[in-house]
Amino acid sequence: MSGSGYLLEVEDLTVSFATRNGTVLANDGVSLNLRPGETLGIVGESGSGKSVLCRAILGLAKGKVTARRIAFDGRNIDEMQPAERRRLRGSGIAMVFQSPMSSIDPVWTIGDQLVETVRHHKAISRREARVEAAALLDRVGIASSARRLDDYPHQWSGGMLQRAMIALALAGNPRLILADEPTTALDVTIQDQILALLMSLQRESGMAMIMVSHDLGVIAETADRVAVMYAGRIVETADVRDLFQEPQHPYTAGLFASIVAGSGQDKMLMPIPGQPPDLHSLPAGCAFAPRCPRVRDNCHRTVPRVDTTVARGNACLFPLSEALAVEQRQ
Amino acid sequence: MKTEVATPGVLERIAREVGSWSFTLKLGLLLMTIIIFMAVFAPWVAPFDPELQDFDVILMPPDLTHLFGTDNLGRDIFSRVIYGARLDLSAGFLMTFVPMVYGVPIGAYAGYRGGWVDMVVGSVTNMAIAFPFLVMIIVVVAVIGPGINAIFISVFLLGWTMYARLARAEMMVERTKDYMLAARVLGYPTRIIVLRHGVPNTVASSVVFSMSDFTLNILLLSGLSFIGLGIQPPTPEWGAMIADGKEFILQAWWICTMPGLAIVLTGTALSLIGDGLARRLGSRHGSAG
Amino acid sequence: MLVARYVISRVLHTLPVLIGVTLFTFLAIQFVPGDPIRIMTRGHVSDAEVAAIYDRLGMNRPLAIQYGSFIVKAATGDLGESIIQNAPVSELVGEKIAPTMWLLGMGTFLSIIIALPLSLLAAAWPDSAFDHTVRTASMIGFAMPPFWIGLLLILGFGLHLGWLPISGYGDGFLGHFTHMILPGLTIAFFLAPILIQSLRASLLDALDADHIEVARSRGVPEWRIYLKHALRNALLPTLTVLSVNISWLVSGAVVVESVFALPGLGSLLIRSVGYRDYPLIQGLALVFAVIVVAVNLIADLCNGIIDRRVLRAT
Repeated sequence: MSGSGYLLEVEDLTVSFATRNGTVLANDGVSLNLRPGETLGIVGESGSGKSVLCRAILGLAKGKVTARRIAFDGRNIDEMQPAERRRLRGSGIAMVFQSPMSSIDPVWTIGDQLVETVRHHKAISRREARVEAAALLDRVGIASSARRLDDYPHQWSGGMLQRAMIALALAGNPRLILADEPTTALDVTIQDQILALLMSLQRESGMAMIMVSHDLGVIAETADRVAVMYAGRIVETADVRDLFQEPQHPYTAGLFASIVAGSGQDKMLMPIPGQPPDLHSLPAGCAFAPRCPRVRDNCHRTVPRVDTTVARGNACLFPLSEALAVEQRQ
Repeated sequence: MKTEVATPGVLERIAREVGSWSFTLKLGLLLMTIIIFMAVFAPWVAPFDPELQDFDVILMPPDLTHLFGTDNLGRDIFSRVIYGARLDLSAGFLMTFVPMVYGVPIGAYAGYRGGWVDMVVGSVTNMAIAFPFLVMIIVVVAVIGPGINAIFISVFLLGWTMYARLARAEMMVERTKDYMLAARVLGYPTRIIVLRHGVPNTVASSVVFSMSDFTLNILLLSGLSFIGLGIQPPTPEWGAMIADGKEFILQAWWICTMPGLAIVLTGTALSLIGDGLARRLGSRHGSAG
Repeated sequence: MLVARYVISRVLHTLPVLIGVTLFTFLAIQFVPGDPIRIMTRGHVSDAEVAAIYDRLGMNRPLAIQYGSFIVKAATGDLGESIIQNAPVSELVGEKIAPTMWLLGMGTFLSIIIALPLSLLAAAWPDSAFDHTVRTASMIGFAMPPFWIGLLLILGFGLHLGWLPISGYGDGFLGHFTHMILPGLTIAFFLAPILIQSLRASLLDALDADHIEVARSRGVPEWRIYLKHALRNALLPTLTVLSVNISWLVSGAVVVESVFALPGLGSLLIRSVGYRDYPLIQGLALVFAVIVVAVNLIADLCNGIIDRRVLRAT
């Protein structure tokens, strides 16, 4: 079954939560593919479902997860036994989380937690694991790694902790890293360092990466391909350059337009009109329709879906390229 | 037309409020109501005079006439337990809620003002909370003699501190909120801010704690009476009754057991209410959805 | 060193409590209606002798000096002299302190043995039948008066089943141990529910923390997450709860000593009230305060060991 060559295949993933006010679909029919060594960027605002997506891939999502298929390296992981799935965590797929300050246990040393993870994936002695832990800290750019092993998390800065978290993620030599807003909680100056670190680590180990962010700048720097999410659904996929130069979906276009544009005195803020969608009461039809400048009647009736069999797709009945074509015809 | 608007609203709100109460809360309130009812209407509920001695029926096991049996002086245990409820419940009530009345505002004020007021209140609070209460009461007993006054003096002097601490902690959170700032901007004097706005919003944890405190105070009173330094015989009080029954524990286990069960039942009812209140009041503090 | 600073800071924090307690006791005794010395000696001595006792005890000096002198002497271990029993208070305390410490120790030990596994299991399967049973039993146990439980245990285990000794202190380590089981258990009935409620709640809280999810993402097995990460984090608030409740523990111990006829400080205190032995009462108040304060200190130190962040905050 590994003939497809994809490292990760997600087909029609749906994650639902039962809330007091009804069922919410945090992810609705999400599909994506990832090749080895590739970086897929996932863009979306908060509530778009991108974090839930990462957790669902790892099997850590809190809601009800259904999918036609989730395959890692050709094997169906959604049908695995929990113990088997757990073995995959850290060694096959690892995750880097958003807020390093709260993501590392404060009552144990950094070294302790690294050793714990290393020994979990390899049957080696504590002393050997310490050596490896120090090596991991070296890899992520922490100086004096051997001494640092006995530090407690509260003694480190946010940037250093994020490096530690990356080290923890690398401990099992994963083939895929899920990075969920890894730089959002950090200072701007540190953000670049961490991104550079992630990318260099990726190059040297050949890992694939899914980079989740709401920051288009981060996506631009790191991604090969991009998927845009809105209201739990994927609305556009494309190579990063294509996406930035010629977005097809009105939402994507709106995202780019809402970045402060213009220079000098002409700087204008052009937010997307309307409110972010309430997942409890999504409109029938396209979720973006209430805010879309190009909306037509059909948009309220059908839910457009992205065709993931092609390299470039969008979930819009009247994508921007069509208008272009129409204009050109004229 | 007028009645349509006014009455259904209030009744409906009450019904909805009561409906939202958890089973725990309702059960606790039910038990407590029964206990209080029996205590209040003791003269009608109790079959016998609690101090009536009848040497024909001493040390009788529980039966249909004497539901809880009789003690070594022929007194009906059931009646004594009911009358004992009067004492333990009313004393426990005063011991709990009187200190709360001034403890919460003191704590709220200290939390609001900060500075040296807070430091003084904080030190006094820490001192009082750290010390074993029973030992303190015994010291007072040594000074003024056994009886319930010693307990009241100690509790009123020092029992407010736990409430002050709880209220202070909540106030530290509340005082950063906008409505507090708004009141200051509007020129409200401090005491109004603290009493009318601060206290109602900081009282939740104190109310929940008061249920445990009530239980602890009953245990305190009965414990003191048990060792002979509290309520003196022949007044029926649960702890004193247990002490009375100590020497007959082999022949007449019911003399000790029944008052103890009364304490357990009351304490459990109070804990149930406390749990239910915690859930009910906690939800107001929690997230919006 | 950070640890030393923390320890010193914690010790300094105990001073207000000790001062407060001794001041309270000292002032309270001043309120004794009538003449304390005459009360203590019950009129068995002549006026001249009473005056002499006053002089000897320095009770003619101004209050502040008396109090100051007591504090200074107490710091060196001299807790005054018991008129009634004609012996230094510290000596009397020394004789009786062991059973009390045994009781407190055994009570805490048994409480932890009972509370720890029950909380762990209850938090592992929240809202299960087991969980509800544990919580209900806790609630009922908390409402049980220690002296009552003590009597029932005596009745059950001691008199009917004859398994365990029911009074007195016993001889030798093993003797002490077996004699302390029932009294310790009595205290545990009260303390364990408090520990269970706190530990269970903090375990559930700890399991919600971000870093737990992160640990899962690293593939750490669930049991390890529970015991290594969640538990250690949950111990912190529980320790705080334990130290706040120490004073109730000591109060309960006084009563339990009476039930089981243990020759400890509690019994000494109760008897001294009967004799109106004020110097002894004053000394004992201080001793009890020191015990509570010492246990709090130990709890604080454990706090610092488990969570190093605490050390930084001094």
